[in-house]
Amino acid sequence: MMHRMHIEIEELLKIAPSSSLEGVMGDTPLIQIDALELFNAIKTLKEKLEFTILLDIVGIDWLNYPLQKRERFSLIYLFRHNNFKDTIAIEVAIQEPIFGADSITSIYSGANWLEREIFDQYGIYFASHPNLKRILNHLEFEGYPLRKDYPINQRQICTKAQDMLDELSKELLKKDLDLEKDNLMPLNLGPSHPASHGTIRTIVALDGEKIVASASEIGYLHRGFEKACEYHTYNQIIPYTDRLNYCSALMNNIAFAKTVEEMLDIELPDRAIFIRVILAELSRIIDHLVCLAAALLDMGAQTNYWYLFNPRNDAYDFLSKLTGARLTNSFIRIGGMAYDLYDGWEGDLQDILYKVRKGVDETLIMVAKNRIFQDRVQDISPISPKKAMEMGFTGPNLRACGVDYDMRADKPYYYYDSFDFDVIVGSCGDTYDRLMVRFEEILQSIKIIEQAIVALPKGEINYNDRSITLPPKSEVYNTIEGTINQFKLIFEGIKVAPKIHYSAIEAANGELGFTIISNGSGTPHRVKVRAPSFLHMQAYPQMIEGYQVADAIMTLGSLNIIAGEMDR
Amino acid sequence: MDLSSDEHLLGDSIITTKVDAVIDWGRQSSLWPFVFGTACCAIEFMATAASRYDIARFGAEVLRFSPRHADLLVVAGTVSMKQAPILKQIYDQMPEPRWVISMGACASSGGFYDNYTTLQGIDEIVPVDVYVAGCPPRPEALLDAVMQIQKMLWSEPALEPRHPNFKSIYDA
Amino acid sequence: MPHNLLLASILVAILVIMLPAIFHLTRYIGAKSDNERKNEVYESGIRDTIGDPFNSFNVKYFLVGIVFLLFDVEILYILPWAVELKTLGVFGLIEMFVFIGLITGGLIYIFRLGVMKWI
Repeated sequence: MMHRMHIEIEELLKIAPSSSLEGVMGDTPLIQIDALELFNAIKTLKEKLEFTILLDIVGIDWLNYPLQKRERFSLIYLFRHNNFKDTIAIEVAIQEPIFGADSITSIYSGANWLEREIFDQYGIYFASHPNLKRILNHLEFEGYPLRKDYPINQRQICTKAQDMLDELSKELLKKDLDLEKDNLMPLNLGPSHPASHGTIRTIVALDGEKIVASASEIGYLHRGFEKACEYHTYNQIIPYTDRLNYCSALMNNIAFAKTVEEMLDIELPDRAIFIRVILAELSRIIDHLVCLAAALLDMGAQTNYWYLFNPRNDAYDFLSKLTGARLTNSFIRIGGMAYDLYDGWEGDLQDILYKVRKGVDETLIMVAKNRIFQDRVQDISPISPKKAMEMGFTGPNLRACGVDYDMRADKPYYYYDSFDFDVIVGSCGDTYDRLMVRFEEILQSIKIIEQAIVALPKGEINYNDRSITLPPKSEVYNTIEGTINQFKLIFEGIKVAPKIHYSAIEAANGELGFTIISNGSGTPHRVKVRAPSFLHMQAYPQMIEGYQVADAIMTLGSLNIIAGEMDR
Repeated sequence: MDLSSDEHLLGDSIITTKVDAVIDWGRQSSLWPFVFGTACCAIEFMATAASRYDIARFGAEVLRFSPRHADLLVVAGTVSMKQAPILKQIYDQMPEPRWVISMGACASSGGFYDNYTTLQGIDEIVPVDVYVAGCPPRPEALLDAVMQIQKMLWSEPALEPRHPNFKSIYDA
Repeated sequence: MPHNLLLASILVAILVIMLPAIFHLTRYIGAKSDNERKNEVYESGIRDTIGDPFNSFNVKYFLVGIVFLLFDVEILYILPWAVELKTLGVFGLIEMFVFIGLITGGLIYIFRLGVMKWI
């Protein structure tokens, strides 16, 4: 791996003489490059060094950071290699936000919305960006909220929604069309729509029933997760992460806790790892159940909605017995779990798996060979593997295109390489593939859970270190050291030494990653979520062109866009 | 007949209370909800409408997706500042009489999102009748809220406007 | 008057009296609160709609409507025939099937032309 790093740095040095190895984030080298040489360096990275997947672009405001930094703002670009194992990070210091950096949208089309978000939150401009407009905050917002000098409570009222005709006209101009001359009808599939799965707004230009051009607007569920993280301790952030992808809340907890534990460089006890694997796979099952039930309901197949939702209610019973809440569990803590499994959990879990299998079987009996279903979803909105990787797709949406990329198999964590399961890959990336991949993944997750139940070892569930894990209650109530330990951990939080780290898991929607910058205190300096739904939504306006409105609804359902994680 | 005033035609007499009872009975058995679902509470609403905690038992089976047909607005989930004008417009387009359930902590008071982008409670823009606590509330809590609305129906006069003096942050 | 016609006219009379009565009852007795936003177009919550609703529609919508109308009128003819089938006998049966066959020929023609495809 060190050898590889040298190859990369040598190549980059040829193009960008100012690059230097700044540090290491786990197994990812962090290379510092000058802003003027950024564009060419990234072009080399994609074309010569084959880092074809754009993971994330993180904006950082270094004000009040304990270590000395060159400039106040910087950007970190994260890329992944074609072999799906190596990651590289490029850091660019921004001298003046008004001049900012060059936009890399012409190299990676997935960078479009990522750069818009950085402009929205930090005010860093990107030269030659096709559409530099606010994306998460409303257009009447003044100021840049994620900067450290913006007060967190300063609300700004929005009096009206923007009309998206400017973006729609731009899309139409690319095809030499005009709304009036070609008699196209603009239609608003608004933010309060039964089939838009939450608060997503799309405006389409219709020729009869066929969609000619479209544009999407997001940000209606922006809740300020990233700014809130800068004011809470690491364990206090865990309930916030629940609400990101609320259909599979435990996986978000696991992703966040895994990143912090890697920063602390601790090894979890095996029992905790196996329990996390069981809960992660159970969350994946219930997330896929919601996606499929909603997609089939949009098509009119209401019976399948009941068949798929009933096992989800049973899973809720199990989770509420285990964690105390049905939907937003907050069960994971840094260093392990909140509680151990209860007596009799095995019988309950086996019962749920049986019911899930029965529900999926009954649904597939009705749906798999159904002529209506097949005509509705086959050959609708296919996306090619190359385009998908450029836009930053991951997870079942990418596997449906035929790309064999699953973090559990390619970059295994938590003993996934010792489990026996198949990675489900589709063939042409249309809506049918996306839905069928999810059906099959449910069955594979059941397989993994059954193996994990058999292999579950006994032991501790929390890492044995009093500066990270809370002491047992008997000590807290009876000894003074326990009380003070508890007090300091709750009020000041777990102290993490200053570093930057990126870590990800294979969540139900794709690669859910967290970039965390700690500053030595109990609260992080910056937390950025690499949300898979954000990148999937970017591709949506292009995917629905040429298809009918009803097909567009099915495509949205099959992409499984969860607004909580998209808008954060 | 002064139709522009907000008072109804008949006065308060014995006959109107009997009429009230009939109208109230009709209304409470068939509240048509409009689900303004934004976040996690919308998933719990979907579970309430599913077959185990059936909301159809209480008459609220017909989920309408146009405010013109609905009389019960269930705001399920966080309302951000960007979403607030949309909520106000939808509430304004509902015909009288209309009830509002604020489901969950985020809709009632902003939840634990006390920041630059979250509306601290929808009662800043629409008048709320029942608040349901929880994050997300259990389906039984939502059903209890629907039953409270039904109880509320009985004790109010049937033909008067319900919140004539409400001012939102957009009107002030 | 024949029995059926008497029943039908009673039904029509009740409807003509009852339905306007209900509408006007809610209009005069019910509570109102008018604001200028209430009468705006419902556009999923977006205000300030732009553009004229009177632009021209695609002709495919019209074609589907016309085809539906033709077949609906055909059904209108079939319904009284079905009621009086016994008195019409075999001759009536064959006559109606010839009629349906002719219209089905028209349907096959429309199908072949591609009117039923949406794109």
